[in-house]
Amino acid sequence: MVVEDDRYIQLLIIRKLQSAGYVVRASDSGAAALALVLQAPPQIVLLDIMLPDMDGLDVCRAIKTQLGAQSPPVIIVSARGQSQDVADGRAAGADDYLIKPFAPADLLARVQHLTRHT
Amino acid sequence: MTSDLLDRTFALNRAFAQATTLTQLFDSLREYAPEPAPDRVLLFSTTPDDPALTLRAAWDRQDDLTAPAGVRRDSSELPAFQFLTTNEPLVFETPDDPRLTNLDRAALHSAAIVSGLMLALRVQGQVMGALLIETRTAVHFDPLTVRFYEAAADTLALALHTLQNTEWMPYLSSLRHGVMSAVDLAYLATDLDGVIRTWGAGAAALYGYSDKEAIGQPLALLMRDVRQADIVARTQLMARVQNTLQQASHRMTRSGEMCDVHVASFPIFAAGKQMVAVGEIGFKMADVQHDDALQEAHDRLESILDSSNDALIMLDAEQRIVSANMQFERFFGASRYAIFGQRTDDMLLRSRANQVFAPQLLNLFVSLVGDLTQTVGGEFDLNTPELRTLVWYSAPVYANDGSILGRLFVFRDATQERQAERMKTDFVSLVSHELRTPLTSIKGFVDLLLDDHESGEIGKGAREYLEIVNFSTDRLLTLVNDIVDLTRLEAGHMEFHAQSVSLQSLLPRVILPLRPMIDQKRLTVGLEMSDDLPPVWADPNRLTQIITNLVANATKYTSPNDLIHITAAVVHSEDALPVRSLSALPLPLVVIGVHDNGMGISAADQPKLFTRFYRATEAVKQQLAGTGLGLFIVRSLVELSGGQVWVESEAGQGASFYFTLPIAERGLSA
Repeated sequence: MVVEDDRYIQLLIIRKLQSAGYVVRASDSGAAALALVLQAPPQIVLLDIMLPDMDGLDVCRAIKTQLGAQSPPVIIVSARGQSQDVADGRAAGADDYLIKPFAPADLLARVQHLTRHT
Repeated sequence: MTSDLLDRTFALNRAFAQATTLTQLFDSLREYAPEPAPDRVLLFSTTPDDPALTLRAAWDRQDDLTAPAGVRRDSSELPAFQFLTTNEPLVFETPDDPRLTNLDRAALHSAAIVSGLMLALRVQGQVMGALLIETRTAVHFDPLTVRFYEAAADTLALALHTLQNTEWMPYLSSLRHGVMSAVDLAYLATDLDGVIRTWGAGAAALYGYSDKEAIGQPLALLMRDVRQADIVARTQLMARVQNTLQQASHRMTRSGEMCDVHVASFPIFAAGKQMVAVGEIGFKMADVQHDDALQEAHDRLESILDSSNDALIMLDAEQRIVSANMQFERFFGASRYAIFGQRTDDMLLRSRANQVFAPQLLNLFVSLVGDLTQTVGGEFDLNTPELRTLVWYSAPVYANDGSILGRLFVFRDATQERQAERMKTDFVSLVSHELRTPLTSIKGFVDLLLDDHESGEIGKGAREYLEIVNFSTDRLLTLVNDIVDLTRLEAGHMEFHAQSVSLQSLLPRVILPLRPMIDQKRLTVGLEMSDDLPPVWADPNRLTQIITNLVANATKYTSPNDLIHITAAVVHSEDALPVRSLSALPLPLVVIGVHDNGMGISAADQPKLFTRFYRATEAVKQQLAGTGLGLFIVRSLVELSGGQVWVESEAGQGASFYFTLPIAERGLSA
């Protein structure tokens, strides 16, 4: 599941993951994505922070608290790169934090690392 | 008045001011009575409940008799006091004066009185009693002498009034027309609602209203520039502090003229300590300062201070507010006239009632006023009357002879500056986010295109162009990051988390991402570290940034196939320091150097090299890309880490950039 409001970055992530054989769903709304994730948890969630309707960190917290042990891994993908931002992401329950701009290969490697066990 | 009469008036008023009983008042009057010397003095009282006159005090030269107070004389001895119904004192030069009643004449004849003076004692129109001054020889009481007794009669009337109405403390009555009218002070008193109840002759003279016009009017209504709220606040203050309060004020007189007065206010208590009124004594400032030139200089100085954009307030050595300018009134929403003369430590004590200054500000005044030497400053936010950020400083003020005059406080409005700074920081972080987002897709899709595996075969030309796009995007990204760093450094928001860092493991890792750039120019990078190198105390992210910047610079300004050296060594003793200016830093420390044999830096460029946006002349000439931010950021980060940075170079001879870091043990112990 890709939650990203910039359509080109959304497309970039979708293409890169599809090329590696993943089936990708995407949303530009935090609330819609949260509903989808809670209804049918995906393998992994890639989550932007600055979404038009919600704070990505809130989305992450909601996923982690409501699904508990069944929660999919979450990677925050954000332009906010201060170490405080990364710490906030971790505190919200994120499994990884990727700073924009990122190398698509790097993104794929992290996704593969986190989905290997599921 | 003749000078003798004036002296007697003063003396009598002083005596009256100290008198606390009717007998003392009476004796003082007798003692200071002017020529013609009276042969008999009688004081009677009356009350609305008992219209008969009671002799309260008497003195007769013949037998020096002082009648015991409160003895009611036989009515046959008493004058009829018809004069009490008229306002004028009755002056008679013969006991057969037609204005006297038969009873009066009989009484006067029996005591051998020839001439005299009969005065009604009145308080606000109400008759309190009578005063008789009599002689056994025919004398003439001139109008000035009559006025002397009239003034005394006012005080005596108040004293009688006091005895009847216990709500007035005895001393007040003697105070009233005593001291006040003597030295022409403007005395008045208001009740708790601010309505004028007492109006002295001095007040009438200064403000232009007669007592008839003034009494019963609210003070605020009479003097249009005085606010009712201020009067109420003063009354509340009086009730709280129960003490005299001095302040400079301005009052509007009957003719509409503004008049600077110095006002001393004091509470008036009834028996039982309950405050019933507020008295004030005012005197004209101009009376104090007769010197026109001095006044002009003072006015000019005040105008200068008033035109200042900064708020100024001056406290004397006793913490009294002695000066404040117009901008001060604006910043703090307070009339300066309302605070002149007040002590800041007093204000602090009753700060709850005083909304002029926040307690933090008063604390500031109080804590600094004892400091005779230091100039200090700071910044704070003011909430009332409006949100304001004030930058202040305070310095002691000395007179020419070196004596301390007090302390000056200057407040500058920095609200807009702070707002602009915040906006700039917000804007830059917004821009950085907005720039990174498109850069992410540009870089990402170029990456995808360059990956043959995903985009299929692309032509050699297209690949070359894409590499250029990729390279340029990286440069743009570096620029965005530099500007964001610069803003954070300027705003003091740069993150810094120091820890113990091993250079042996960090340095090779820092160089790794720079490899493509180094390899492209076919440069050799050498790393030399002394064996005894201890861990340093630094933020690994910032340290990486410093070294990356320096190595990237070295790469940029070096010819292909050249050599870059990175050295790191520990310095234990002062003698081994490479630069003398480092002696301020604690030892031991680690010196890291990045050396190249590129174009070098001219001596003229070196001092400005670490300032922002400065670019070396040679680099500009050769049109090498760069923003002039890199070394400024390096310097800021090194200083943030507790080190120093410097360069050693000669034009054409390569350059060595050095910076120091504290060692970890020192950092931990610090």
